[in-house]
Order: sequence, then structure tokens, then C-alpha cells
Amino acid sequence: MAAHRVVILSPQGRSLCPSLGMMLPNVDCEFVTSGYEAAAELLALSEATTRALVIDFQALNDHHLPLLNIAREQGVELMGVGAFPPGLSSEHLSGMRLLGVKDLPKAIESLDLSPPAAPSAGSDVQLTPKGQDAQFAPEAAQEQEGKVL
Amino acid sequence: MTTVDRPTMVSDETPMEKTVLLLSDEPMGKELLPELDKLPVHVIEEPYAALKHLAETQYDAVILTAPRTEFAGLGRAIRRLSGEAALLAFARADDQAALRESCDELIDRYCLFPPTRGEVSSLVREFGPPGATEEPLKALKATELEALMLATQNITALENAVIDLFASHEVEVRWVDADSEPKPLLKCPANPGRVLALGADQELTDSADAMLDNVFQMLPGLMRIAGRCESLHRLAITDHLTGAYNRRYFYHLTSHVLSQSQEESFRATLLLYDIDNFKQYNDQYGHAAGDDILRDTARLMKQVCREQDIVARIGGDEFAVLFWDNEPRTPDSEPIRDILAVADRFRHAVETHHFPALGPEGKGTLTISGGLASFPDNGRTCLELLQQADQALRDAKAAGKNAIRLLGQT
Repeated sequence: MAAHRVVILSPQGRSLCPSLGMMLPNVDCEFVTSGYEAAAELLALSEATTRALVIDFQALNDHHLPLLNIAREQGVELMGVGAFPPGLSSEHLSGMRLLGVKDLPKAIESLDLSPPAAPSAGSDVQLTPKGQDAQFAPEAAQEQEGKVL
Repeated sequence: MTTVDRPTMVSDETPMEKTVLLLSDEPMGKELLPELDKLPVHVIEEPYAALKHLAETQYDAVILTAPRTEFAGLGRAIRRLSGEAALLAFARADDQAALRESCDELIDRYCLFPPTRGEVSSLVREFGPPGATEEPLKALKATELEALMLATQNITALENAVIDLFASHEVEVRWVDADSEPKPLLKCPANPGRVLALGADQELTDSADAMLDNVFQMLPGLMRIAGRCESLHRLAITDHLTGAYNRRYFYHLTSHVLSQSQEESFRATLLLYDIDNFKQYNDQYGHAAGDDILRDTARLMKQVCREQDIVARIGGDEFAVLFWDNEPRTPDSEPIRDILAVADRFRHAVETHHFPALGPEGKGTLTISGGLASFPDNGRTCLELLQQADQALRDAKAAGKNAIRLLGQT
């Protein structure tokens, strides 16, 4: 079993990026179609450590904004793909890496997949936006996906 | 988030109560909560808050109300976090069908909203049939209990016995569609779409109210017995291959109809038919194909018949049909001529039907022959009519097959 897992939330399920599992044999890619299932995956006890939650923005509406907080509380990296849904504020996007679908494998591969250090009690998760390595490049994503990020 | 916690009372004498998470918003949750009686229940309105809570606390049952956004996804999430808990869903009748379609295997039990008295706590406690508790039956007299037991030969009889029971307590009740009754007394365990409702301007008397509790406890078990009796009865009277009645039941029903025809001058005509050269089809295409042919011809016959007509498979490829109606016979009426036209329409339908078992080249090759006998001219009993119709059938075969003949027709 892979020691690390990534939860991928998309209404398209595995079709969002069918080859992801094959490209990342050391990562357990868990595809879900509902925000509730994504939350359950983050909250459930698992042998593998969940390192990232990839959210296809099509799956994110007002009902599912608490999912972002759960991910942050769990110290799980947030990655967003697709066009912004209406009503999403910069506060919601805080700390989220914005990507094109084609960039996903590389972005996941670039995660620190070494065993995570236990967070110190009471310490807040760092929610600052990523710097140089972040794919927050709307123009680039537009080129790849034809969508406006 | 609304949270209502009731402490769990545990002692050595009483079994530990089931713990329940109720995930529901207003107003459904408000109506369900009192129904949970004295169970330790935790109420959460917001789904993500509920999921976080479920990640830390195990429950015996989770109750969800519908409709809600992404119901199936929420159900799967609850299963992921709390796989051992019973998952119960309450929905109004309008929402039930869609729910069942989208997540049939996800939910342990679908329940109609609003619930009836004691239904929710009973479901949770037992997670078995609603009403099955160990409360003593205090309000039912032995004779009333016996009447209910005797009515378990079928579900309709049992439903009627419940109505009679309340009538004996001077309360009028009726079984109605769940959609039409906002405050049902109880649901029919055999059919969640039907509920027991008070008649217009009726009120439950104290004795009827106490009795309702007992009926609620007993009805699921009695309904199961009635359902099994119905299934056994169906098996006993039908031919398993074609779904038509079997020979024994055909005799029974036909004798009954003929005796009524005798008294009230009903019109009745018996058709006996078989498939021409059926053995050849069996030999050439195999017995499975032969079975398909029998099923198809029985279905075609049912299509040309009226609801009251009696269709039976009485031998290998031999079928009998009693056409009857309650129009009185008159001296100049010739019902057999009408039935001849119906039977000939059936013969033509078979001749032109494409039987998949015979392949594309088989169309138009399969035919039937039949003989008709009329009550009372050709016979007064089932046996006599069958014998006479058999003679007409043999005439049809001798004349070249693929024909329906009247007795004595030249």
C-alpha cells in the first residue's frame, strides 16, 4: 500500500485525470465525487497519510466550503483546478495552489512525500500562499485548459 | 448547529440503549426528535459538522432526512466514517423513488416522513421490523388477536381485519395512499405507500388508542405471515413457466364461474388450444427454446384477453381459456361467435409473431390450433366443456391445423 494519499474531488471522478494513478505509483489517489466524501476521506483513519486535497472547482459550492477548513485543520495541502465558482473569496483560496489539470501529476510529485512530522500541539497550520513553486498562473492554466482560473 | 444530548441511562438490569445521530434540519428534525422517545440522541444540522463528529464518536444509528444536496455523497461519507452504524433515511413520499434509485444499497432502511408513533425509536432499537418491541399486548382481547391471526391468509384480508378491529371500538379507519394523509396512524409494513388513517371527523377513543399501540407492535409480523401466505398461494395456483394458472386452479375457478353462470345466466365459452407440431420445435431448437415459445404464446393470449378471463396451462403445450362475462344470455345472443373472433385474433397474432427463440427464419412458421365449447349448450361442467373443446380442437387439427374451430363446425 502507498504510504501517501491524495484525495481528488471532482464530479467527473477518475475521468478528471485517468492516468494519475499510473503516473504516481507511490501515491494512493482517492477519487471522490462529493465534498462530503472528500471530508470523510480526510477525517477517516487511514494507514496512508493524506498529503493533499485536489478540488475540481466544479464540485465546490456554498455547501462545501467547510471542507476547505477541514483540510486546513488536518494540515492537508489544498490544490484547485478548473474555473472559479461564483462566490469564492480570496479567504477561501488562502493557501490553495491553483493548477491546470495537466499540471496535477507534477504538482503532486513535488509534494514532500517524506513521513510528516507531528504538528506541535496548538500550532496553527501555515496557510500562506505558495511562492515560486506554486502554479498560481492563470494565464498558463488558461492556455492548458481553456478555462479561466 | 443544534445539538440535543440526552444522557444514556445504563444499569445492570436494562440493556444499553442505542445511540443515535440525527442529521436533519428544520422542520423534519423537529418532528423526528420527539419520536426518538428516550433514546440518547445527538442532533446536528450541518453535514460537515456531523462528519467531523462521526470521525470522533461512534453511533449505533445515523438518521438522515431528505431531500438534501448530494444525498448519496453524504450517505457514502457517513458509511466511510461509521460503517457499523445503521443508516436510516426519512423522506416524504415524493422524494422516496428518486432516493431509492440513487442510493438503494447505501441506506439500510427508507422510511416515509412523517413517521408514525413509536416508529423511529422502534426502528433504531431493533433495527428490525418497525413495531417489533417487547411491550405486552395489554389492549387486545384474545378474540381480537385471533381475528387478526385468522386474517393472515393475505394482505388485503389483514388490512380489512384491522379496519374491523377499530370498528369494534367504534372508530372508523381506512387504508389510504400515504400522499393523501398528513397524519397517518400507522404505515402498512407490506406497502410503505399505504397508511392507516382516521375517518373523517373521527377521534381515537382511549381504548382504540391503546389498541393502536398493540396493532403497531404486531402488524409487521402479521404482514410478513400474510405476505408469505400470498406467495405460497401464488405458487400453488400458477404454472411456474408461463405464469398462467395451473390445471388444478383452472378447474377450481372455472367450476366456480360456471356455477355462477348457471344461477345468473352469465355467458361463458371455453377455448382449448395447443401449438401445432410443438414437439418438432423442441427437437429442432431445444427445450429452452420450447419454454420461450410457451411463455411468449401465454403472454400473447393474456394480451387479447380481458382481466376476468381465466388463462391456464393445463398440459405440456396445451392451454385452456375461459372467456366469461356477466352479461345475461339472451335467446338470440351468440357469445361464442364473439369469442371465435377473439380466438382467431390470437391465432393470427401467434402466426405473425416473431419468436426470438426461432431466429429470423422462424417468423410465420409457428401456429396454433384451437377448439371452442360454449356453456351451457356444449356442456355444463368444466370437464364437459374441456372434452367438447378437445373434440373441436381435434377437428381443427384434422382440417389442416392453424385454425380455431367451433364444436360441430364443418
